[in-house]
Amino acid sequence: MKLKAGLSLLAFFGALAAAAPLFAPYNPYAQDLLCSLDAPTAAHPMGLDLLGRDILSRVIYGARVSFAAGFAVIAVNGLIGILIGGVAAVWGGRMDVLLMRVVDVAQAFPGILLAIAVMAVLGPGFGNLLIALCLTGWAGFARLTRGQLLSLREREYVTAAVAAGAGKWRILTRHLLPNAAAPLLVEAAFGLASVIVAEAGLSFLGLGVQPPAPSWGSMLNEGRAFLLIAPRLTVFPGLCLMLLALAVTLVGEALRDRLDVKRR
Amino acid sequence: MEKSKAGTALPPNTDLFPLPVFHHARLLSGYNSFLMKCLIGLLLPLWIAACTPAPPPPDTLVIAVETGPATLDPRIATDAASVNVCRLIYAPLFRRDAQMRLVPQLAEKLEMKDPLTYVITLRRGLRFHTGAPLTAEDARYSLLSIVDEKSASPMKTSLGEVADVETPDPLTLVVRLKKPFAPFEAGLTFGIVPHGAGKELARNPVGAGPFRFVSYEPGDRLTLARNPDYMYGAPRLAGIVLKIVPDETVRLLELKKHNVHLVMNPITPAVLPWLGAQNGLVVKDGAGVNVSYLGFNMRDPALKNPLVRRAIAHAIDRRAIAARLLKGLADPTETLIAPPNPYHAEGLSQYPYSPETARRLLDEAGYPDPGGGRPRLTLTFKTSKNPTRRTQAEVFAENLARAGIALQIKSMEWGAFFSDIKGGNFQMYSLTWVGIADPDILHFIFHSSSIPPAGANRGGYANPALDRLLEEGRSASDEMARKRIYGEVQRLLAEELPFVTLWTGRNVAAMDVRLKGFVIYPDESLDSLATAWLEKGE
Repeated sequence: MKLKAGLSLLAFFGALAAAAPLFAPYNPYAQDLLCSLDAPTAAHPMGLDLLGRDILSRVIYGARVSFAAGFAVIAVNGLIGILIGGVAAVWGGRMDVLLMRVVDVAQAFPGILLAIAVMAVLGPGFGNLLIALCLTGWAGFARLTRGQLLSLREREYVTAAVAAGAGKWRILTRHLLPNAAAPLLVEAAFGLASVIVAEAGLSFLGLGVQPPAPSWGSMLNEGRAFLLIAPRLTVFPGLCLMLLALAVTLVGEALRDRLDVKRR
Repeated sequence: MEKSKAGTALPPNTDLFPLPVFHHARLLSGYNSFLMKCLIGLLLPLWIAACTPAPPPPDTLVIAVETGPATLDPRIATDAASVNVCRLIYAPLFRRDAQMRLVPQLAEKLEMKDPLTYVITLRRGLRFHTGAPLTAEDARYSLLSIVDEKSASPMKTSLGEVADVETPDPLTLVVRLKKPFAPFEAGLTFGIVPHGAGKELARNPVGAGPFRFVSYEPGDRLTLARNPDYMYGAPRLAGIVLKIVPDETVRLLELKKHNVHLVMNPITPAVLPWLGAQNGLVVKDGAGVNVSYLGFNMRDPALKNPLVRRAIAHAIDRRAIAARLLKGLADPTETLIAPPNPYHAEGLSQYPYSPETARRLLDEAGYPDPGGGRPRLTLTFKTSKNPTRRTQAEVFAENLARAGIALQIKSMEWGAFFSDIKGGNFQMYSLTWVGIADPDILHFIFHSSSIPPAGANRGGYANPALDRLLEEGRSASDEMARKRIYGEVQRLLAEELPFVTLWTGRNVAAMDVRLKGFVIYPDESLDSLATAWLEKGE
């Protein structure tokens, strides 16, 4: 049930993002100051924003930013985290101690605050936003990977592989990681939700994609001044953000329920 | 403090939502256990009580402001919040009235003996809030502490080069200058502080203005009480409370609930009709002196060409932005010295909206259409993160795209943005000059000696002809000559366009209908509160 609901919502937003030009009824950049803040009509179901741009089209294009940020950041974080966690677990010893302290430090940073500080140095922009979100996000993956691998390392098939003369790298990639994939996938799903919300948060603060490109976070920010007269400017992007985060979380929970042997 | 204590005692999945009634209902429906209800019943009244401040006494005006003053020392106040509050606490020798004319306040008269000597006579019987008499000695001290070498006063240059100040008697002040400085009189608008006042004044201000200082809790509120001995009669308002409310929507809701009586700029123009339709509220607007402009970097190979700057001026549809985006609360202007300033010049070069003219000028400047929908020229536009500024930037980008110029917007954190602007690290930006009164400000903005850090010529504009005129304007002594010179200056600037002046923002005030006698000054001064009053009854 959760999986179905989550996946269908995710597929819906995914389709919107992937084929935004097909779904968006208007050019999301086309301004018409004469129609500033017009109320919703059949032609513009979500109405128009301050510059007379179609809100629906901007919401659809905004999905692209959320998806791009979410998947790119999770992919990079996952890769770095798995690599570091894997090396720590397999090599062990001092390497393990050293890497885990680095992870401790990374996890101790307040992620969003660090991202804001980094953006202040690098300057605003989508690329810099991705860098800022990747700075500490990998730590969770690293810790999880290490924990999983430490318990897997003691299994008989690993001992057998060692006895057969397999190298550390081969054991890591062939025997350990495939068996640790399930919890990592769950971690990735939950991480995705938080990255999407974090991107919106930074865009809300004006640090993400630069105007006039639409992003849900920056639409929320731009609409804030009109809460009293045109709440639709904030309601629609906010609703989409909530639904997408919900979809991803549902998928994550469903995956956890299915894959986690201990929970079943 | 109390608020957060009550908040943590609420169930963990609730937050402090600023709508107690709604919150209440949701909580009750979600938690059926008897214990929980008891807990909520116990805590909610406490919480609501903590959220509702004690009502101010009647006849006290409550103003909601975005930020509180950074300092209460009038000599070093630069931000609008500090300047406006200082004007209520301190009295100057001369002040600007609602028509921007200089009128005597503490001074009775000013005589110019010769271009280097000014004699100022004070009114009789002046007193500070402490009861101590205000004499020429205090005025002398105030003036000297502003022009002092070590002073950090922004008004330091507005008095020219002072040679010495004498006080032959307690009512007379004689100021001698090193060189003639025509805008001297306009510089006498600083608040007079007691003799010997030091840094402690910033926290414990003592002046001779219509209101005396009571208390200031930064981030929360500032309280003033009427000065019963004010030289022009005690104010009718018993006091003023400046309530600091950073969020605009919350400010307006407070006004709607009549918890505050007055909210001034900035108010999002599109919200004003809604505000005016609320019961018991009225919205007024008046001409302003704050001019928004587009700034260019003259060190840039494309932008140093006046043809490119003219093309940009023609490409921007200022009238449409003023009418539609700013809902008429902006008056397009061709000069920084906008009406009602007496030095405003007419007949300046006009740049009506015309993408065709812009494209033709770009052709002439050597930026032909490369075809294939590619831009003729790509420029970066820096702006702060303020949503209004970002929206305007989006319109500029759309406008310029029609002329074939691709404008890339970089919206930055304010500190980083402003340091880039001051450091000359930009191509184009937009900002607003606030509080333009005497045209000598143009020396500070465009003279080649005013390139930062010495002044505000951030684009690095250098024009010997303009420099000469600006220097002449400083030393010319009679009004007619100054008007002619600054007319010439404005004509030159409108032709050369080191700035494209966009519009003067109109000042807006949304207020309780009970507030009477409040006048919107062009410089946003709250001076009229000295005579305003709150009518009785709801």
